[in-house]
Amino acid sequence: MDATIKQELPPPGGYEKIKYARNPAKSYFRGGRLLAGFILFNGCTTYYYFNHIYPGILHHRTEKTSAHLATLPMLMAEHDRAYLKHCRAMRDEEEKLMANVPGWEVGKWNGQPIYKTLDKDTFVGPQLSEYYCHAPYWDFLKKAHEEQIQV
Amino acid sequence: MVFTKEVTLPSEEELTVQEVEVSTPGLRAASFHMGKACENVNNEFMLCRQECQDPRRCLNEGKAVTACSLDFFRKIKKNCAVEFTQFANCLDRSSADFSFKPCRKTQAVFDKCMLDNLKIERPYFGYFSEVKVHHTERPRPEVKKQEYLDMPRPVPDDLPLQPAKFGKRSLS
Repeated sequence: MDATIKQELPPPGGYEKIKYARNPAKSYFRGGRLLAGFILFNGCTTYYYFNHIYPGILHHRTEKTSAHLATLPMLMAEHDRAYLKHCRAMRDEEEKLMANVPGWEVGKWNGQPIYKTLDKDTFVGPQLSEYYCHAPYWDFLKKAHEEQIQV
Repeated sequence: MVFTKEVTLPSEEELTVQEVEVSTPGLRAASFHMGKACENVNNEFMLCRQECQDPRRCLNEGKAVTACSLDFFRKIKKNCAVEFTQFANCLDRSSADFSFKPCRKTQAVFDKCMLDNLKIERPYFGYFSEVKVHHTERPRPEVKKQEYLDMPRPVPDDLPLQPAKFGKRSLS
């Protein structure tokens, strides 16, 4: 077999050199100029914000708060009445519910009130879970979420 | 339940009055004029509520507030119903937070109607965010001081002082 054998060899003149040198992107600004530009840009935007945008936000906020404060007494009066009505209804409900339990006193546990150092006629509102104890659980969860109370 | 039988809670009849049944946009639309018209009653109620910290003691003031607001809305309904509804509608539909900014035109129309018919001017900007002094005839409620049984007894003034046994305290 007289086949010519051609050995694989580098191209004439040798291989290309391996490019290992760094090839960074062209830098337009460096060091001090970049810092100066950053400070200038930030300063301009901050100036614009605090002189042209933020007063409007404050104005809006004050107006909203004023409207809320003007209506607050009416809403509060209504809320107070509904709250007291519900408290009364719950106490009556407990009395009816626990009528068959011997020795049960409304608002007490084994004859002990919750607040024993306070005067007897002091109004201390119930906890949220207690306030909603005859209501659907989902309503309680919604209210707790609204008031940001951990359940 | 927290409430024992000794706690006086007002009955249902005492608490039932005609409430103001107006939705949020309506309340917002009328808020400034309502606050101005019922200012004295409102301040009285808020002062009572703040002083007593007890909803039972301020029921009459609260009823007065509600009656005043109700009366005010009735007046609006009689005199400026169209303008009021327009303004409330605008507040409701223009933004997500009932902002007044997109509704200045309808607000001006409503203000003019209120000034012409009811002689109530819109208070200047920030009026309700200011601190107010309110003079009242109601006596100041007594604040009972809490007595603690384990409070240390006060040191008498003529207690003989002895030199410190273990040096100064300031260094420890």
